[in-house]
Amino acid sequence: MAAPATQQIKIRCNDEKEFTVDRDVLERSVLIKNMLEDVTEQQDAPIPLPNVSGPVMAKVLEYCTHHRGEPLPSADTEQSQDETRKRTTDISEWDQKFITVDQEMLFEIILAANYLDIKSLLDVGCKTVANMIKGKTPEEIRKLFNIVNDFTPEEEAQIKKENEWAEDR
Amino acid sequence: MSILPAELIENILEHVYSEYKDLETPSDLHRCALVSRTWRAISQPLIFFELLLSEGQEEQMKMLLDTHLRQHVRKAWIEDCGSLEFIEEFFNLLPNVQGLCVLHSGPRKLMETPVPETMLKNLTSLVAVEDPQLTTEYLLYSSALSNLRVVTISIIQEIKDYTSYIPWMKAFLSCLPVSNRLEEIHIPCLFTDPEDVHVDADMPLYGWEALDTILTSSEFRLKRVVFGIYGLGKPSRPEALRSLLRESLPGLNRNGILEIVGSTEYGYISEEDRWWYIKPVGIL
Repeated sequence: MAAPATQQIKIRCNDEKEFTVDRDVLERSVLIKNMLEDVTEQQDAPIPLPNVSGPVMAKVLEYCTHHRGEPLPSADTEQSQDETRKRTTDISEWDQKFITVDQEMLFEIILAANYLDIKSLLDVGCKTVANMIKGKTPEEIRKLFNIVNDFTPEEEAQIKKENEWAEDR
Repeated sequence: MSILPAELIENILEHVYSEYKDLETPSDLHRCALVSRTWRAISQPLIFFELLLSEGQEEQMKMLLDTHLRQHVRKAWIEDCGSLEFIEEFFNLLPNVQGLCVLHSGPRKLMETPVPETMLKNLTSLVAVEDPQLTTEYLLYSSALSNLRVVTISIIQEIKDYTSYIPWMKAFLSCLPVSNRLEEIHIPCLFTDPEDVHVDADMPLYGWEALDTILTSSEFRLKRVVFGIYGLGKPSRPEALRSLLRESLPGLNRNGILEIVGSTEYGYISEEDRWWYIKPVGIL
């Protein structure tokens, strides 16, 4: 692909860490892409990204650099997913290696991908967490996600009954 | 420790859900429903997104649908079971159902108790199964199907035997209301590779131009027509099979809305199960 994008953009994270990145790499983020489209004049001031820290941004940029030039998902794909509620993501070998990080970083990457609107990275992260959930008990899942059990014993019994209905159908 | 907001948990659980085939119950999601109130609210719409009503489960299904869970059901699968009155009652219990599939293995007289029109108006997808009795029924119902967006015409026949079903397909399609919003038609068909199908791209399939004409007519504003090719094993000449379909449906091909997908497995298991809606699992 002929990439005319030699323009460099500066971004600033919430820990003051700054990055200077090729525009086409940054435009993997729909949020930043829209921001850049709204700006008509060349700006020297860095784009503030108050929801992302330096270390997480470094990981996100590693992903965006690797996938630069690939087509971005269209809005149509989203609609057909809504129809079936089924999502399919095959994680490539590179992505799998990339996402092999500790849980804190994994969650941070997911939050950043969501904020920056990088759908493919969000899918890779969510699919990885989905694989972590498989086979776990409710208590293990609570521990994994730092969740408090807020059910009354009656509610818990009711859900167990509902699950049985679904299983027996 | 970072806390993921509910919208991201939803995204994650949709991935858990996607690992399962149609109608397979995802036990991982059942455990997720027991995590917390928030997780329950996310899991249960996925657990009950599709519901199968089959013989002998009528009472249990009534109990289930008497709860808040009924609002989650978007796709209903109905196996020939129970009285027709019960099926009508079942429909009335599902306020948000959008897709309907009648799984059908024997003669059936659904016409005696028509499916309520109000329910049909809500349907956005339908699996239409070729059957002499259901044919008349679809034709009776079709005027109410004004919100239909996706139709799967499930005639599980060899490509070579397809011609005799084209008049039925034409009749069904021409009965849909003019105001319809139909965008997609999915047509699965079978092939037996290689001896039984004469795959010759220079000789279009006989009679298919009638189907091509109706699918490209101006009353439809279709965005996709998907032919699913199913057989045992991979076709030895997938390109020839693809060309044959393109040649046989020149109008759709020209409009750029014809898609041909294929499966490497049979879409159904036995004669009894032949009406199961089958899904493309790969590209030819």
